[in-house]
Amino acid sequence: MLDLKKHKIKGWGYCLYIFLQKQPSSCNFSLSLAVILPKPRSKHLTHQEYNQCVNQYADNVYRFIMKNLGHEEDAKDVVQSSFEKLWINREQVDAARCKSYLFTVAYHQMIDHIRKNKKVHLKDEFRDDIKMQDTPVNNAKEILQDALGRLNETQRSLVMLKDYEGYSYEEIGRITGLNESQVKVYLHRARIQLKAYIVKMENVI
Amino acid sequence: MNLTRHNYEEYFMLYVDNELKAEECAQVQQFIRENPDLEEELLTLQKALLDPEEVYFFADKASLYREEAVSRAPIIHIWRRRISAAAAVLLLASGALWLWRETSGPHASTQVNHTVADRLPDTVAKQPDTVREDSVNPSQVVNPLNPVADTKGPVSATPHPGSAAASGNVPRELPSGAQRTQSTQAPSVALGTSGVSPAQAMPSVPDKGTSVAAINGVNGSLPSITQPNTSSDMHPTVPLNGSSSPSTQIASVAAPKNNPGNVTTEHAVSYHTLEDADQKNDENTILFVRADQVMNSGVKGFFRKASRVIKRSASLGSDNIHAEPDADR
Repeated sequence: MLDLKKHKIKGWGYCLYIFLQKQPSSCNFSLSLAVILPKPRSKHLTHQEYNQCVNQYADNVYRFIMKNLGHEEDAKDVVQSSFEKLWINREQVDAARCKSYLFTVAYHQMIDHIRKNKKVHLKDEFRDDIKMQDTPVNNAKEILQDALGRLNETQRSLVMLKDYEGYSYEEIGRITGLNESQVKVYLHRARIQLKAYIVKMENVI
Repeated sequence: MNLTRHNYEEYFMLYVDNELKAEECAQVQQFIRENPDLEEELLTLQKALLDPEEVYFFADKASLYREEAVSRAPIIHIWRRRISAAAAVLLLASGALWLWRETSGPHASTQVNHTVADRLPDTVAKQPDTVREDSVNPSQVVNPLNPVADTKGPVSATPHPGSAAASGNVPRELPSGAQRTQSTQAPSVALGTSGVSPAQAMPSVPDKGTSVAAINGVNGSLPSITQPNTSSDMHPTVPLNGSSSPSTQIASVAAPKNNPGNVTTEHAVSYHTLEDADQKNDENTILFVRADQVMNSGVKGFFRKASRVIKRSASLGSDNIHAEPDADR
């Protein structure tokens, strides 16, 4: 049985459908009609849903970008451009997939931003390394954040998407453009590095 | 799942990433209970997990909000626009044609009226009072359909002694609209009545010696007005304004003997000579039709023109269709 509202069958299409339903061999006709008819459009994002997305995910996206970039203004720019893109493409985005769409856009914009500012970023990392060596970290959380900062952006993103957002390997792969095996391997390597750094710092302390 | 001391790291990773099923998680927990020395390694991995409760606040959320969408202008498809444009052009064209017909119609009808007025004799019904006043022996056009109307007129009070009084008929007017449109230049109106006809009066005023016979003689080009009854009964001629137009025209009312109630008005009109030969008895009708055509409105003209155009296009199309086989031959 076709869902008329779902397929937006109106007018003559509705009459044809009713006629075919009354025929003895209507099942085959209905099936063929269902094949011919276009697929139902997914519900696109209304402005209320968009604002709800802002309320729910703006902080998460900002955390994800801020932890990756380490620069507040750049992170804000990326977040704003991500939500701008979501608003522009709201006709193609389902409300249920709003979060993953946001993280996908934010991730790729972050990668673009990192590539544009690679030299500056490397210089910042170098300073952080010096800072780390000079001031030993006592707090476990700070050690972990320091260890996270030592990962490359892909591993860091995978760890954050996994730990902060709770995405599965498959979903992380969809966001980052990697396959599930790559996500698994990169994430395991990141875990090993984090563990090693934590153990090392604990030993130092 | 085969969890051993050689592959436990992978399963520990999957365990902390929450990628294992429930039974696999139970196996991992069972493995740790069986191997307590590896529990420390699992705890270290769990320490390396980020805290999801760590919150970063995005301060500029207000810049991300969107207001309610402004109502969009209705989308009109291009084909609807085209159809509406075509309809508008059609309406404009028809309206312009209508206006053109309206503006040119009165001129045409006026001209036709003039021509008809020049040619047609005006009946007594056009200006009955004038006729009655001017004429010493006022002539009348007898209308048997309205016998009461003429009883007020002076003519009816003084009927012509020759025919009307003898026949005992009451003279009557012709209220016909067609005759009212006729001009007064044609002076004579011949009324042919039979002696038996009770519904006709025949006042006769000869105008400058014009009679029916003379008129027929002079106006040889005109179709002959044959009074079916008698030529002697056609004596009454009515000079309307005393003009001696060379194209003297006659409107006669003849009532046959056998059909006294049926009065036909015959007009010797020069512009429908073709019809006169065949339709002598229907000239009154023809005159009415002509008068209607004279008074055509713009609507009829529009439809007539449209039908003419359609016929022309159809004939052109048929010519084209038939032209090819001929060319092939």
